Amino acid sequence: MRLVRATIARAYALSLRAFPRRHRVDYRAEMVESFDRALSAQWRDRGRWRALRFGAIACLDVVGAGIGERRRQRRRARKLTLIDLLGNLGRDLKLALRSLRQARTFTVVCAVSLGLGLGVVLAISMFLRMLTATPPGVDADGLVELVITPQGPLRAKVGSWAIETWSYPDFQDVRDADVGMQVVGWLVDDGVLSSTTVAPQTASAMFVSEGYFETVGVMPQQGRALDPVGADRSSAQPVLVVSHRLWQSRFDSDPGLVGSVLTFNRVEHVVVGVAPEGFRGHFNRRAATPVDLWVPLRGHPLLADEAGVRHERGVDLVRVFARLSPDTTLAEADASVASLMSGLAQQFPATNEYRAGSVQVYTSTGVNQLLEMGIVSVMFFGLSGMVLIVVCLNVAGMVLVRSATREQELAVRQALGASRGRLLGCLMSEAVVLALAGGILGLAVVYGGTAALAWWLEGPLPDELRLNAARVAEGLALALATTVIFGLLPSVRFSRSGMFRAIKDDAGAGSWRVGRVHRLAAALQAGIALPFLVLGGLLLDSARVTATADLGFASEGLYASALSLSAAGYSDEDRPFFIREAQEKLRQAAGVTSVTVADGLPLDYQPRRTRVSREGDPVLVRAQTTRVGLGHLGTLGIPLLRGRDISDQDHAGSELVAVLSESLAMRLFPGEQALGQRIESDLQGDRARSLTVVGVAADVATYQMQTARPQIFIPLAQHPAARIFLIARASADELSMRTAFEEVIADLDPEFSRPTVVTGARLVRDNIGDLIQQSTLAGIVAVVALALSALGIYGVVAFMVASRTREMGVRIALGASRRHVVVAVLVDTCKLALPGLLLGLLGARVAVRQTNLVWHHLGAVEPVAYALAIGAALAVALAASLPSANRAAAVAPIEAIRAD
Amino acid sequence: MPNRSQDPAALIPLKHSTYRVLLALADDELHGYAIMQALAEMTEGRETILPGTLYAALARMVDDELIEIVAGPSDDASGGPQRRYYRRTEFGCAVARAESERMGALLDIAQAQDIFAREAK
Repeated sequence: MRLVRATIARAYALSLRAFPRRHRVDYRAEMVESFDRALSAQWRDRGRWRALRFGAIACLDVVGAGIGERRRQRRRARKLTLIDLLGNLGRDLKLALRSLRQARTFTVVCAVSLGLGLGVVLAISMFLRMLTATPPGVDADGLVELVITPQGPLRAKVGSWAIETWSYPDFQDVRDADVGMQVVGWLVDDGVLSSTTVAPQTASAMFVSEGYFETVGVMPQQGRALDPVGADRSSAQPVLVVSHRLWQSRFDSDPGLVGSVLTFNRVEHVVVGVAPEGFRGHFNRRAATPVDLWVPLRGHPLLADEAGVRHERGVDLVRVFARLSPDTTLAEADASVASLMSGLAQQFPATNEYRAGSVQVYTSTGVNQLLEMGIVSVMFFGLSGMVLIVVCLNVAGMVLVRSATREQELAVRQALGASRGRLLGCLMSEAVVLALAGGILGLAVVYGGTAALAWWLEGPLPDELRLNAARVAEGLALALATTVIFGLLPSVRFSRSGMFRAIKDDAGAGSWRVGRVHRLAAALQAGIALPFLVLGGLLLDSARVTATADLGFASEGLYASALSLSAAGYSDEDRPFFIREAQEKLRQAAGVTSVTVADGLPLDYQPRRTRVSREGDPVLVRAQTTRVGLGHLGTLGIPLLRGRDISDQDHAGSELVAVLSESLAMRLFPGEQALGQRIESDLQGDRARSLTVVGVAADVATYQMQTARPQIFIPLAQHPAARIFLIARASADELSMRTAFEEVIADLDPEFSRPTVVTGARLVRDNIGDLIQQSTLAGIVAVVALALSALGIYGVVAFMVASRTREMGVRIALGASRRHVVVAVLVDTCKLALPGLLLGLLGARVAVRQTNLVWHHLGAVEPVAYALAIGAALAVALAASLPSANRAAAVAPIEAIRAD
Repeated sequence: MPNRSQDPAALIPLKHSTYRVLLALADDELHGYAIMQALAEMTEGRETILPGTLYAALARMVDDELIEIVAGPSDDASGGPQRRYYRRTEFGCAVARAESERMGALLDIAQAQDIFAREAK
């Protein structure tokens, strides 16, 4: 029996192994004793078999409880580990804060470098997002744009870029054909909006074909959309949808606006809906005025009239986009449109030959703009990348310096038992603190920058330019990645340094030396600001030259007002009469000496470029084209050099004539007399036309001060325009001229929107302001680049000095003066920076050649800009290395001697 | 792991073994084997607890601050290994009370449903 009991006890003791070791240590003896006593009691009271049964159950119970206890302890250990880790992290962060507070220069240089760099990178990323963002509310999935791809001779003439506008009949054919898409046409034009409560005013309208809102994927906030697809168009009453912005600003959020009647372009329209807040159309029109109204396309003045262009296939007017049907792919839609257009080309060869149809994926900017954006994006991404490289080099350089000077401290900590992982944890905490500081500074730079921009532009910024949680996260993540990768890696190198060597050597950076990578980093940083400095300088010079150059016209005493004749509902026949009447009435106003009309003004920011060539010559020259009325040159004060101005003999039906600016005449007819020569012009919306040169005028500023000046003036009577400027030269003051313009227009047509008068002086002032803004921007970029390069050079030179402390000490001990040491460091800096400066010079030269910066010949300014930029970059490099040079000169010789 | 929140509700419902140990440690400080005996006495032999379950429960309860280890009486002359004595803490009392209330509420429901009377029939 004793053997049986011993066996049971042995089995129980073995079963106890199921418990974790710690538990066994604490409880084993007690558990065995309790089991023995319980077994004895069972044996005594209930017999051996019962006791045996009890023993077996108790063994199983121990195993089960032991397994449970093991699980519990494992869970507990996991919790403890997490808490320990968090505790360690908190301690490390506290230590890192203390340590960074002591190394103020290092912290400030790293944080400022990170902050500036990340600020620039974030700003660029936000700017690019703004350019290409899909407008709010638009469901871009499945949207496509329909464009015309020029072929053969048309391609040779207009280039390979897609033609984005379609003639109305072509659009109708595509819309009505079975191409697997819901096709919508649109165009944007100004019109005059009025009602019983709102005075006539210009409004920007998007004229859209039926189904626009459904296709875009937006439903009005109030009321309904315009006609849905399939609505009976013939019986439809003119309707419109008002933008949320207009509803709030002009109609004071009137809840009864839907259903009321507004007069738009002299036609009464019923307001059927208010667009949702923020919706500004499917097209990203950043620079343009926001859309106020959506009006049916057939209500456009050019299309409403049966005699207008609605049946002309030769006039491109409408842009077209579509939503693919669920069962249609882009390739199928593309093939359908191509086939349809090919049929039209055979049917209407005069207008449609060489015009192939194509379907492209929708982009908010349009196909052509996207290509241009692509180039801009690549440039900006390149700039971002450069800035990031500089920041990374700076951070790496500074961490190298710090690690070099802390090598001893790290070695001592290792010697005292700190594991490498623990040391890395400390270094990592410093990197995290630095990243946070840099990230916050970067975000502050962006926040401040956008606030300044909003103040400068005197208006709210688009949503893409506002900081939000995603941008904040992006900035902090970038800061963390930069700091951890480029800040921690050098630290890792130092954390594995030889303990004894480091402890033995107390003269600074042990045996680490400035290597090729550091030299390259310093060189790059010295040169990186150079292109920006040169570009900034040249832009500033351009501003100076432009602001002081002869503009070619007399801006003082010049007044003009834009009149949108098509929007006001004037037909082609009525327009000349209206223009003549307006000129006559204004001429009679007090102080007015002469009056004219034109479809544009100098410095009006409206490029009206056409391509002109000498007749029979394939070389095309881009020229600013202005349609002008009688006496235009005289009224604007543009000197006529040869021949005559546009006169009343140049009417519709007579020989087509043109007056060239001197620079255009010289380019088309170098060394020849331009008068009487014939040129070909590819006027907008027209086919190539042959014109006779009847006069040559002095060069005059075109749509901006700094743009080149080839220019062509053609008679308005021969080339009608839908929107003209009524221009007057007067001795009267601005206020009386404003009144005169208002009275003339109100007298002629009370329903015409109130004219806005612009003065010549204002145009000049705006343009100079624009130049100053551009130069300031270039200057800011150059200063940021210089600041970053200074920070980087400081880091590398500081490391260089730290690694040569012993050498400096020995030099001083051997009698070198402190001045000599400073000079030696500065000379070393020059040697470091020189290759980078030469590289930067090369970059600047390429940048100046590639960027068509200035309209005038640079002459002697360019070399001066290069010299000044090199001087500035070198001065900054030397200034950045001066603190390190002084530190080197202050080394006590005893340190150098003690080091060995 | 110490139960820092000291909220009885956080531990409710209790494991059966924990509740029984808490009840067994009514007023006295008992060692492990005594707890086994007390429990058997309290329930007139209907409920027993085996040493494996008991000591796993004791370790857990100490961690949860339901019971605490106290020095044994000087007259403990079992002759065996040094025994640990356990005492119910105030938190342990609160937890036992909360668990009893929970079970009492269940019992009330059972009584309301006349479960005992039906069994008797």
